Amino acid sequence: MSKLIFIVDDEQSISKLLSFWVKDKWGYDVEIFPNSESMLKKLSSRPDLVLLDIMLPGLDGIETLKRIKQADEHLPVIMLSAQGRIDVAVDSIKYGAYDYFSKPIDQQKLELALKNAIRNYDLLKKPQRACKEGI
Amino acid sequence: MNEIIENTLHIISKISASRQGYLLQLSDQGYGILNIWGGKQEDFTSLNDLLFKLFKAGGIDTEKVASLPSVLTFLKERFSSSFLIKDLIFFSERNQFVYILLFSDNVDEFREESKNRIIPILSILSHQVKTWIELQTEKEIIPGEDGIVSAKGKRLIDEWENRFNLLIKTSPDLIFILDEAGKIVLINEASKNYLEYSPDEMKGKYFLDFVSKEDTSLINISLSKVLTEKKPIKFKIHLLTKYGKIFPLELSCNTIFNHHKVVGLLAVGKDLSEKYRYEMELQKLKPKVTEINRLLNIERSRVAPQKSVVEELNRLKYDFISSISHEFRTTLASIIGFSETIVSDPDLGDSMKEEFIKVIMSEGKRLAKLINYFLDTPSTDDNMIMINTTTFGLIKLVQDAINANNELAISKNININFEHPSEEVFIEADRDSLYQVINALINNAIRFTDELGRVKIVVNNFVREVEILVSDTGIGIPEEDQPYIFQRFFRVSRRLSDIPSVGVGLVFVKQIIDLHKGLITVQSEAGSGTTFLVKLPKRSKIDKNEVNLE
Repeated sequence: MSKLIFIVDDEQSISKLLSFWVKDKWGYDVEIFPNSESMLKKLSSRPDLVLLDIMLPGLDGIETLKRIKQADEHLPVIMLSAQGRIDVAVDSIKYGAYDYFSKPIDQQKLELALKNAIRNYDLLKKPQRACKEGI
Repeated sequence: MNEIIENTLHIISKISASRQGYLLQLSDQGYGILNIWGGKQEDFTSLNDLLFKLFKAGGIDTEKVASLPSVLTFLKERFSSSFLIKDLIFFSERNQFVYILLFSDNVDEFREESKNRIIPILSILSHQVKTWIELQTEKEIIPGEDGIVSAKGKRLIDEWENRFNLLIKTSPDLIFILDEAGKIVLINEASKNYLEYSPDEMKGKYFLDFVSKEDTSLINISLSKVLTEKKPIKFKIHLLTKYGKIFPLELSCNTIFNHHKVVGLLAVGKDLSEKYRYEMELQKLKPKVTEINRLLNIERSRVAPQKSVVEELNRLKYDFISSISHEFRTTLASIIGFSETIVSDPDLGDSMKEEFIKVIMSEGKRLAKLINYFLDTPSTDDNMIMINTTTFGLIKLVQDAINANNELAISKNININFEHPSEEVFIEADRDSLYQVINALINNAIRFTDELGRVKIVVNNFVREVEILVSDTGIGIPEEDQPYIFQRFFRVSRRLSDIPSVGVGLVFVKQIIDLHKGLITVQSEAGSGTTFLVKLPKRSKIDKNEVNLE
């Protein structure tokens, strides 16, 4: 079963690029959202990772991150920012982001981070599910 | 006291020399001249006064003395008979003295018969007066056991007297003594400095004569208070100097007692003129201090807004830098990302490749615009922004812009309403830049409007011009900010953190509209929405020189 990745960015060209990388090149399933609100509504479809831009219209990236963590504390979130501000990066990690990338994004590093994060999430998920299934 | 004695002796000698006579009756109830023989009334009166005072001061019970049978008999005898002088009665009882002088009215007989007797009698009288006075004086100063002062005591008195005189003399303060009537008995040399009078000029005069008119009632009240309460008091008064100046003093007064009776008043006056001068200067300085404080406050309140303006500018600068870097990074992220993808992926299909190249190109153009916009670099002939006027349909263009923002509108549940004439409106303008203008206005309208809001776009067609209205139900622009929204670097301050990537738009929009000789205005109310109105001539004549603005 292919992993599902949510991409949240209001910049269409960036969403397009990320979608190409994640879906066409790395083979994950992708769903694109232009803002956080629409993404949060779809959290029930259980994504395996969220690529989240920090500067978003409406609910900003940090606030969205907090809400994601409330819903599922293990769901990996990778923050993307065009601001390049250290304080924002620190905040991201503090609130539980898996990683932080500043734009322009390094393709290889992002791919690796994505892979590791999803593997990590799988490992954390398995024992929980195993417990639930009574094994 | 010596004066009194001298006077007494002088008068007595005068009387005796002129061979006049009189009869004197003395008692502590009163005194009187019973009879006078020749001579001057004043002479007798003076003598009478003096003697009576002496008796009075001595506390002699003269009534008793006078009414003694021997005295009465004696007087009766002498006056009933017609003879002349007969005697001077000298009466003494318990150290008390009564003098009654009797002279004959027959001057010749008096001279002849009593000449030799009168002189010794007078000398006895003088002697008695003198002794009595001396005793009396000594008694008053140091009452010894028997009323006599020893030689040692006398020296002590002299010593103290000298010290007292020295003290009074050296004191810088004005020291004076008043008698019961308020006359100056003694005053020190400070009077010269303070009041320009010498002590001699003031002695014997009423103190009240030296007091400034305004203070007369004050001094009367104060002095009577001292006399009645018999306590030292302090008060301020103004004295008049010899040359009419007013001199302020602080007077400390105390009463002088003698045998439980107030006999005078001692006062020490401190110079207040210096203090007054300082107070006057202080009074003069007070308004200056107030003035300075006022200026200081004005300066403070003037600096305060400057400070806040500087802070605001710093904040704007920071926001600007932050916003510029965000725009650059986002655009660069696309360009680098897509070009890297093309380079690193040889299997990429041609159509995909072409699509990516188009993105890179448009993002590159966007970046160039950003640089021009932010850094205001003068363009050259091979400007990245090509102004190219063509004839095109405005409704189609607006619809395209709406479509481009549709996704954003849907995600926020914002309803876009587009009203336009049924037939296409053709205009002559630069389609690309105009598209960006409309796109920016619609995009802003959606961004600044909360979920479930409305955005309305209207295109009106007139004879020579077209009108495009973009209206929203968003947060609005505060009235005070409205004049500045088309200025560079300005971003509406409110809810800044909520709205990313704003601020690039409106200056650009204004420049494009200006380039087309159009007009853009804004109507807005904070909290209830914003309406942008764009008016464009149907046929824009774009001056190529002005293109450099972009």
